[in-house]
Amino acid sequence: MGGKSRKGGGVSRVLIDRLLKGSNPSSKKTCGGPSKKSTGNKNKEVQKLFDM
Amino acid sequence: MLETKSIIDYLNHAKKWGIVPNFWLTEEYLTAPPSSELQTRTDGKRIWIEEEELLIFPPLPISEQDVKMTGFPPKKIWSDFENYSVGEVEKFLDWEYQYDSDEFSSMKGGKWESFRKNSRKWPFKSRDRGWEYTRKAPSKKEITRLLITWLDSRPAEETIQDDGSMLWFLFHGKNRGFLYSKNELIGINVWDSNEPYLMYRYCMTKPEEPFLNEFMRVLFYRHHPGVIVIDGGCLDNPGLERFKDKLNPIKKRAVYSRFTN
Repeated sequence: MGGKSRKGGGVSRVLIDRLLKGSNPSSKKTCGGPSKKSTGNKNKEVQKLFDM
Repeated sequence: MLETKSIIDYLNHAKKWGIVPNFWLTEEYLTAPPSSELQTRTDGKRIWIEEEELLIFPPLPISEQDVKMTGFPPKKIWSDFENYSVGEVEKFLDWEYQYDSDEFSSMKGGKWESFRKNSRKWPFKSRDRGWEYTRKAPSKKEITRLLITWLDSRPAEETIQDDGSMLWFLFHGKNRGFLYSKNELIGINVWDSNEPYLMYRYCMTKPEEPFLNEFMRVLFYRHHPGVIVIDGGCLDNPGLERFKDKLNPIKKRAVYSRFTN
């Protein structure tokens, strides 16, 4: 789907999946609270798209 | 002395020179995040779009006197055009497909046999449950649900190319078609355009529905009669390449990254 990334390959589908699940209020969470693992800028990018 | 211009200036020059657009040369793609961060510049003789040291497309001359690219600094060009390139080939980037939308209306002849048969399986199987294809956008929650289902069906090691654009177009694209069955969102088509071409950006379907993807593609093409559609690449995926080859492209072009000199 779509086209290639300009910078160094793609992003792990697992990462996007996890971020989307975190952003989706209806999705099931296996534990309470935010993930301790930092997803850095990618998290902000995805969140920004949801907020628009 | 470099001057900052807008993406629209580059698009206007491309139009003026009769450039056949590649998959990325559209106003919506280049002005939506994350490509909206790109910079368009001119030195008075050429105009180009850049991202740090990378030129996104070949620099275009401003006027006929500037057609020779002499004196342009060495830069990498991410993607060339079908009918215009400068410099030397650096590497193969991807395939780019062109399809005639009208062929999907008739799908006549032996070369269409396999796809014709497959594209009819889902609507036949679903004839009792019904479906609706519409531009009416669902909630973000519904799109997210379909996207997560799709992502979960992919191999864990798979990477998503140009993920920022994918998310933008799925959630905010100006041109989207949605397939519902029993009030459930089960497919999304996304496209944009650089007239007279249409760019078919995304076709995302619920993975548990066999042959729905084929049907979704037919819906897209039949809703856009009489146009040449530029489809995305194969993303180094041989299975995707085989699939797109079977859709009887009118052109399959090798896209290259290049160096200006």
